[in-house]
Amino acid sequence: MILAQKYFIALKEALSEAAERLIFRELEKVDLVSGKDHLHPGYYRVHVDVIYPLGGRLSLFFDQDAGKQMVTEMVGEWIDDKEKIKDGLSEFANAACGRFLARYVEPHHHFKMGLPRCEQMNTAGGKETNGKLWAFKFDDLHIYAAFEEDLSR
Amino acid sequence: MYRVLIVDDSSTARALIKKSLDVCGLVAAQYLEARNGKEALDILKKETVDLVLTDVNMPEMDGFNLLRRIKSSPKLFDVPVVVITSLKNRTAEQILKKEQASAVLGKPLSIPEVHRMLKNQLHLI
Repeated sequence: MILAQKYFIALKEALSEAAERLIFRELEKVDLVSGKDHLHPGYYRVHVDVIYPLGGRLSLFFDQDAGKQMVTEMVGEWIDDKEKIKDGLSEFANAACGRFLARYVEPHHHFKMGLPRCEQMNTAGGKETNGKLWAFKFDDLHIYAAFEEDLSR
Repeated sequence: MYRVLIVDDSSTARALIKKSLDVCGLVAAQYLEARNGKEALDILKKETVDLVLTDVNMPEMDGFNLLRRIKSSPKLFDVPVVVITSLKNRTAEQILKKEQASAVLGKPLSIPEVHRMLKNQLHLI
């Protein structure tokens, strides 16, 4: 898998749309950062596999407080239960991945993706996304993201 | 009172759909919930509903199969099925409409789209 820079614009627009509609926040800025420095044990990681027409994986990462805050803002009530947080972050990733593919794929083509999977990381993120990922800043919330293209497919 | 069946494997998504329907004026509705197409069919065997709102990408039985099963059933054929999917683009919409989806909404939901759908499907102003 490689971090695919060419998908950056589609990913940025998709995350912006998902955040505006689901948590009413606007994108402030984006930085390319090191996973090793920014991803820590306990962070929530959501993967969505892209199956067709390109092969790859969208990964989103949230620190524990950001994950809780995101889901609380999405549903409009205080959420502290880890399974509910995982469910909410998965739904966010699902919507973002769909919008990402809709932007990338020509309108006359169909596209297919897998079910989102959310888990808490056991280790730091040095090995994630080949070491690099984008940090999207929405006010005080950061969402770390990468689309890795699977060139073997 | 309208009875609406919401089908999505994510409890967050079901909550967001209910909230959007509330915002769009469907206040006095009774919501039934299912986590996949199979659970939805079990509910539809026993209950009468005015509208089905379903996701596509779900485990066990997806929204495409649920839509086909509803539209091939003499008992359920008339129930409007609205598909809510993150996979929405022009092609997906054409395929779903060919399978007799009453409407196709994209995720994340947009309130004007939900409002239009309720107006068309339940004749709410």
